[in-house]
Amino acid sequence: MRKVLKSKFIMLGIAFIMLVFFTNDFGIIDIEKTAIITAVGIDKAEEEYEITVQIAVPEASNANAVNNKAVVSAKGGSTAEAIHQIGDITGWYPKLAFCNLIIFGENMLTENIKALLDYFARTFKIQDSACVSACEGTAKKLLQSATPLDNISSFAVQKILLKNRGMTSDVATTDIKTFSVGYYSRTSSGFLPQIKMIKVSGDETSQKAGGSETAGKSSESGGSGKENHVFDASKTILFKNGVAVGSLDSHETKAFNLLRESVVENIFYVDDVQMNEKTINAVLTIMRNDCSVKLVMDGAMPVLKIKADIFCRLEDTTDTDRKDSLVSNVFVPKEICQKAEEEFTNYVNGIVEKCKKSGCDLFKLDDKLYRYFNSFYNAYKESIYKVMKTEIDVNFRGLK
Amino acid sequence: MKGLRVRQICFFFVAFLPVTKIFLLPSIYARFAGADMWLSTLLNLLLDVLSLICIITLWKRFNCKGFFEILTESLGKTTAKIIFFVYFLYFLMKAYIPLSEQKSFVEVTLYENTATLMMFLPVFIFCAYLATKKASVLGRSADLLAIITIIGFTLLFFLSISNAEFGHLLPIGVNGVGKITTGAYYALPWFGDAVYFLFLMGDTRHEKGTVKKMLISYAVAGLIVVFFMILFYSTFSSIAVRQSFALTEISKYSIVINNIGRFDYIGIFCILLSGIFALSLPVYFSAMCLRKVFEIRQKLIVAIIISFVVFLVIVLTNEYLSGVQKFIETYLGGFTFLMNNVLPATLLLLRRKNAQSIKV
Repeated sequence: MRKVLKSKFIMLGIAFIMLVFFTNDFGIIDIEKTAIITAVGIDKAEEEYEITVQIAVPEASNANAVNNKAVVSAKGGSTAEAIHQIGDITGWYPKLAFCNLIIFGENMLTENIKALLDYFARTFKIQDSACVSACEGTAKKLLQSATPLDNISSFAVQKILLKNRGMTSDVATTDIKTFSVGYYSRTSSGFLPQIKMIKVSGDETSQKAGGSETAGKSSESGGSGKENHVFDASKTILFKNGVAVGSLDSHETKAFNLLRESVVENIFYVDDVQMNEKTINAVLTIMRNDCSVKLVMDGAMPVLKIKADIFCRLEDTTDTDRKDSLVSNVFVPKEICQKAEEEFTNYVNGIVEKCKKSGCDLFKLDDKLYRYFNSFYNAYKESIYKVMKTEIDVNFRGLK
Repeated sequence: MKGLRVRQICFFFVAFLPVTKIFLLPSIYARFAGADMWLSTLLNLLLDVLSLICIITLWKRFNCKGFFEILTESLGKTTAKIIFFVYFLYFLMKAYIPLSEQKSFVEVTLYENTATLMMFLPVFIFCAYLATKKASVLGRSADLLAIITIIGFTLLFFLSISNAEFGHLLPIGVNGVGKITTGAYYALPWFGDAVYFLFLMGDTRHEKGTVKKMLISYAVAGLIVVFFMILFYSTFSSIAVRQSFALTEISKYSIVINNIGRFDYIGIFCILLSGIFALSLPVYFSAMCLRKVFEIRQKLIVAIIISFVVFLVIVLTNEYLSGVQKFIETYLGGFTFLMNNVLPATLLLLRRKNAQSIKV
């Protein structure tokens, strides 16, 4: 009798759990009422912020299916307000879980962007590993642009920002978490890649079908026939206390990336090399880099020691010499190495100089000072770039 | 025949000790001890190891008898019942923390906007179910879940180590002893797993090398927690304080995750699986204490009552979760220290009459 009662009790329990779970659809929102946001653009619009979202519109799949998109804008006094506005005007629930790109328009860079980025850093609705970038012009224009690379422009931008083999040092990619850590650290510095639109031939109608445009509260009407663009993100914007204070050009960005991370394969351009009484241009493939940025104390004097060992091979030259052209490209001529070292040193000096002028602590020297030379921290904090000596040792080498 | 082997106790520590300390605890440590949070963790674990040594010594001294029998033999049945009743209250309080934080974790991170209180209800049913089982069931579960816990942590560590900057932990001890001990004090309610052995020792078979095996397994479990804290601070540093649910945060910055997707959820779900058992343990032991105090034989009824009480408290405090947790951290640290560390040490004063202790 007890066993029968026990089994009945268990059955009732299971039935109750099933009732609780299955009547709730596992908490999943109906996909037709969901806006799957793939990218968010933030611009300043007078006293408010204009948020533009690019939405992937899921459709029944078939062999010829393409990514359909909608671009919707709304204004609000804060990021969250504007995003909720989008939900209100479209009737969609704005789902940010798949959003992997946040773009700040150029007019946002004069104010502290952290106040806006904090929404994304705190909410669980978006991954804080999403890429953050700045752009030339407005973020809205960038998200509305057409590109031959993908029907959804943000996907094309992500391909450039996310690290792929061979492109690792071209773009100084960062994400919400990394930017936040930098902002709240002793350095209160950070950087964002700046996306530039480059016009290419053809227009939206010449590419794949699809791409509906949904006009929101304040969205501009758009449609077919827009010019095609590709994107470049090799420039880097420097931030101090959340405000843009300077920028690195594409060469400096490459040098900065080589100093801060390992690169598997990358290209380094060396122009105007004097070789065999001729001036040639060369392209080096960086096979491996072993770089370090150290802060040491020479007595009471801080010294920034930058060391870069770069192993490369010759990819291409404009040399027309018959004899030299027959040499294997794994051997890099001494003249090219010397010129590369000279240029790399100039780029690094340029970065240090920009850090000094802008106050952006790209090399995290205040953090290093606090960690390794704590007793000097109060004496040199926030002024270390002005008082320190810099020693740069760069070695480019190929197979010997 | 006793139902638990020493191996199962060792696996019990490995399976269940680390999984309840990786939700809210890392951010609490970061709040008080900053970069030295791992030292606070080490301090908490050291206290627990000392308690475990005391408990094992007591166990050896009383010929591997159960805790209730030891107390009855030394202090009388009434005192034994009083101590068990205090432990019942302690476990009831201890049940609140992991259950409430796991509930918040599930609601906030696994559901976007429609999670209801009822979604977490099955966990309480499981707590009640487990509380009706013998200690040997815990042992068999630990055999399996120790492997699952290790798989989960290995995957998370593997994915997060590349993104960790261990320099964030320097200079070691810069925050001073005061902040390290403050961090350890506020974390006390999350610790005290050694005390579980006090209630399992009566069911544990005597074997050779028990002390060594148990201390090694406890050290392994503790090192997992310490390493998690190190990775956590090395990953988040200046924003560690606001990372409320470290478990799902720590591994997602890996380039592999960027390219493939959130397969780190395999590791997270492994830890959550072990976590379900781990957060049921306070309910299990409070039911055990209540049965001993009132000599109740109906396991199911006691289990249902206790699970329902915890459920009710969590329902009633649903909107005051943060306040209740702050209250527990701030004011019940002393009580947990008393139950986790002082009482097991005091138990060493108990002496067995006319008998020799065995060599374990």
